[in-house]
Amino acid sequence: MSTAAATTLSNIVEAIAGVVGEQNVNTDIETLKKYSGDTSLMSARMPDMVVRALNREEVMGIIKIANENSIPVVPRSSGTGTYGSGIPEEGGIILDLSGMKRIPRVDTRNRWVLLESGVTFGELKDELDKHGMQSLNPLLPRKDKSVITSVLEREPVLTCKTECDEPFKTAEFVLGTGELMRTGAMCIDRIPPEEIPDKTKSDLCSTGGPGIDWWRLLTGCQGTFGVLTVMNVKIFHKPLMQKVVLLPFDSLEDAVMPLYTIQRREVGHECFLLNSYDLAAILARDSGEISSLAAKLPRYCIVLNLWGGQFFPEDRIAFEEKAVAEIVGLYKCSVTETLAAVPDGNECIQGMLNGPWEGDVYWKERQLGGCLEIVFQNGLDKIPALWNRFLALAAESGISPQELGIYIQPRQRCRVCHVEFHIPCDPDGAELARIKAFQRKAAGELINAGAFFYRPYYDWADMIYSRAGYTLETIKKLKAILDPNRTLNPGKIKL
Amino acid sequence: MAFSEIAFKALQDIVGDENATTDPVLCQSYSRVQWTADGCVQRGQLGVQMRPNCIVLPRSTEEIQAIIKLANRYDFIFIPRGSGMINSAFTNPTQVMMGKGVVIIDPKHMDKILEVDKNNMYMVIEPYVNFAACQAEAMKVGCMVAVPPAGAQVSALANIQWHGAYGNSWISGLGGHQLLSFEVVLPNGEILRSGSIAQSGAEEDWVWGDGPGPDLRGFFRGAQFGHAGGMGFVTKISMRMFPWPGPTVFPTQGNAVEKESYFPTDKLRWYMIDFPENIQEYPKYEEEQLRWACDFQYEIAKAELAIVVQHNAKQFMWCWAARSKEEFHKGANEDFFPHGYNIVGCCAITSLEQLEYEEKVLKHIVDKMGGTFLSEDSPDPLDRERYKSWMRITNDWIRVGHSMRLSRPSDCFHQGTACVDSIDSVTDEILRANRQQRRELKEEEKGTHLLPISFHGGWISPTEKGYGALMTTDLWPEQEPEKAAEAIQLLLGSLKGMMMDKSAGLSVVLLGPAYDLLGPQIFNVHLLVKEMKKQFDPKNISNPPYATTPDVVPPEQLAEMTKVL
Repeated sequence: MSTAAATTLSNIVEAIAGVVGEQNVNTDIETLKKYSGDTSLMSARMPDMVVRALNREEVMGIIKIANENSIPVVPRSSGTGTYGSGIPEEGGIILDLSGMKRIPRVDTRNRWVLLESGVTFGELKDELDKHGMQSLNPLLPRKDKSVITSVLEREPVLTCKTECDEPFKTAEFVLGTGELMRTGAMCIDRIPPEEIPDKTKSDLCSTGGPGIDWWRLLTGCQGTFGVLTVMNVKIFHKPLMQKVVLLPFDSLEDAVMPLYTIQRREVGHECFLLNSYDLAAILARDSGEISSLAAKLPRYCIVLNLWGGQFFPEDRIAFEEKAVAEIVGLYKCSVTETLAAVPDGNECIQGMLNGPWEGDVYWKERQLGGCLEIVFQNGLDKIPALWNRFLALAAESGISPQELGIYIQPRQRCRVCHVEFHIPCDPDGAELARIKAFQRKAAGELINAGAFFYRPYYDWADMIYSRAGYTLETIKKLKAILDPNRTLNPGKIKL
Repeated sequence: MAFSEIAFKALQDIVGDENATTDPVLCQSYSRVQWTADGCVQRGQLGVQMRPNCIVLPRSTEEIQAIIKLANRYDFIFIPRGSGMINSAFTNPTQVMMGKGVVIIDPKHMDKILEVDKNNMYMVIEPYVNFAACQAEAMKVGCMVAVPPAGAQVSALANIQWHGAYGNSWISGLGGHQLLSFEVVLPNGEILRSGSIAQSGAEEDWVWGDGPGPDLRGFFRGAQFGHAGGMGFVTKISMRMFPWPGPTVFPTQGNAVEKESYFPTDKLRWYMIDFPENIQEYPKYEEEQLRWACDFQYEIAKAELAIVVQHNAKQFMWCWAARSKEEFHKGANEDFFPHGYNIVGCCAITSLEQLEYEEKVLKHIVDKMGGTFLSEDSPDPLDRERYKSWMRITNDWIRVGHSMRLSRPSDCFHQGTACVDSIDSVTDEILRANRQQRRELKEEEKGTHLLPISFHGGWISPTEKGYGALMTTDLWPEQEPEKAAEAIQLLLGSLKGMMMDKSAGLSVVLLGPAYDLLGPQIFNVHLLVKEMKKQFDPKNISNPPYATTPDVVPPEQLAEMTKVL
């Protein structure tokens, strides 16, 4: 950076320090390097400073200064992004929201929790345990993953119940100009959101409005439309009883109709499908055991958590078990409560349904230290063909199909399925470039085959928006209104 | 520029001579929507001036795109229309007052259900497909759709773009929840596809709504009341379906208004639940009853039961149950339903055992709370009659066969107030609105021409299994414009009351003049949406003044606009 620019930077650092205090502005090279990447294996990019904000006023102040000086602001809630959303493509400020840790209100009657951007799944679990409530978790999130980031990224939750599918209730966010905005019922006053239920006639339960459905527009935008400061999200009552059962299959095709039927008959609460590799990555006692364990596990397995709920739980579990037995009989498959290779597997899974991954190394990275993903959504009936195509491409590229993972998460009673293909890799290995090339090639082939890439991460945005007609132009017009100077996370989703 | 002969010829060239007309008689028939108070007022004020210049009936997205491109070239206004059966006057062509030509785009020819995906539980529809058709096709494949009390014949696409409140909102949510992928011709003539249909690939896939990237339903559908045609013409959508274990054809017996319907009780069971005895007197215990209904609904939410959960105001119940206008007024005068009732419908989605379980839990909850089930064996013979009367039509909550019964009392119906929030909050709004409006009736002698059944109880319709709720209070003016205007004045008064009380309803009422009225208090949201209107409708030709005007409205003009509204 030139001297002239440094002078400008120095002025900006000073101005921002005036908002957040000097101790919360960091420009030392080691810190900048730490924030230059995330867990995604995307190329790192250096920010100019890392600024830690602790409340909405500070977030507004920082963005206002940045906007006036054409400095990019990249919001970061936890730094455990898997998809490069928090990497500063054009330098500027990393806005570290991880210190915004308040959980100011839990409403058990209306089943929501109000939380700030820096609250992680681990912290939320601890708080909700006190109230007998449970959060709507994705599959084993990182313990330090921000809950709000997860919701904004539209990470699917484990429960397939339609009413639980979109946890977002209301929120507060800061536009690219530094102006404050609130979504849904939170907009009816400017008082702190946690006071709204007591001081107004709202319980923060209306997601829509004001005017447009901001809550939808903000999801999937990777922080390019606004920076979230606080949000209330749906939660649910812990069941009095629950029970995990497993349905093993030799082929993915065989699992399709049983999974459709389980969901159509609304059996159980959490439900998902894993192949042997991903199941082993979760259940193996140590990373060296993953491959051998995978060989002993069913090739594909539906994990289903039967749900006792709050009233007469034995009765509820009983009719759900009976329904599962009928479905198993109909499709001539089987159901088990134990896995021969992992006798306590069910208990392990049960324990994991209500919390983050507790291990030191994240489960997707246990085998080789890193993992590339391909993420899309489709109807369940289309997924086996896409998976087979992916495996064939892997074989062509010299990648062992036995070392690839698939995770299928039904949503809204299997109206659609979120799908992840996992490609374990060594982030420091010589093979990384080849694996990345395979990932890109496979993504392109899968898009052509009809996989819907609803989250345009990495360089997928080019592939996706080039096939999406007027969509990108539309998004750009909206960006010009909400963030006219391209202050917020410039470069993401081609904005 | 007035609507020109050149523009008309160009429209004829697009849709064919037989599908475009400037015939004043035909155009006059498009000059108003049905039976709403605001429509009556507009009609009274503007009369034949509300006649559009031209009606076009396109057959495809491409034809609509060509029409809208022409609108940009020749600077005429276009008004997207669904079935024309709407509970508000958003599509009334008042824009003739703007001095531009006005063309109504009537999608009558676009009446196809394009796809029913049984496994992935969605349906792709065009704008003129009504809910009755959707429900009939859904049930054939073991599914059901959201069911609007507004009627079977309304355009499903338009309803989902608009208010969308449903008899089965307990499972289906509101209008915005039903929308998956969509295709819209924007006011600038561009075609936007969003959701999974946006990504062209091996084949069209309408399965999902969000992405790629930001969820554009957030903008293009608008919030609770949509954009009312102010952001282009939506040409196709995919909508959600839900599991349905019942017969593939809806069972009915009798004909026309005498039609009755009963399901096998191993598939569907209805429950009509009364309040505890000590709070049954109405209106003395109105608040206690509504609070009890809230507690009851929260308990059902905790238990995760049922496909229908509602509290229905007494006049609302009688609107539905009566088989004629005469029967309605007789029943209302005799107070046949002395207060509101709690309605629950349980369905054997999983199995008969699940249905038995739900009944057991429901009985446990009602017993614990001191309520009672009405039945054919109720001790009070009147209760037995009430039960039978309601059971005769209760399936209409999932059948959409009941047409516009809400307009039956006076041929004119209007919502007194509406609100979306928690079950508790919407009940607060019912009580607030009723108190305010009764006071105005009594002390200020307003609403003298409203039917006396107005402002009782309220409709508490929980959504998403109790994660949210919708309410309305309802009022019945007469059709004469001056009398209907009273209803609108009361409505505006209620809006002001909402503002004073910081009611939860404020977040969802923004549309048209309400943007300028309330936007300055709501984070200046009107300024952002006005910029959006400018970006996508640079000539302000898509059903102005919706969603909002491109520029801030001066106070005196705003006063005039809200007077007309």
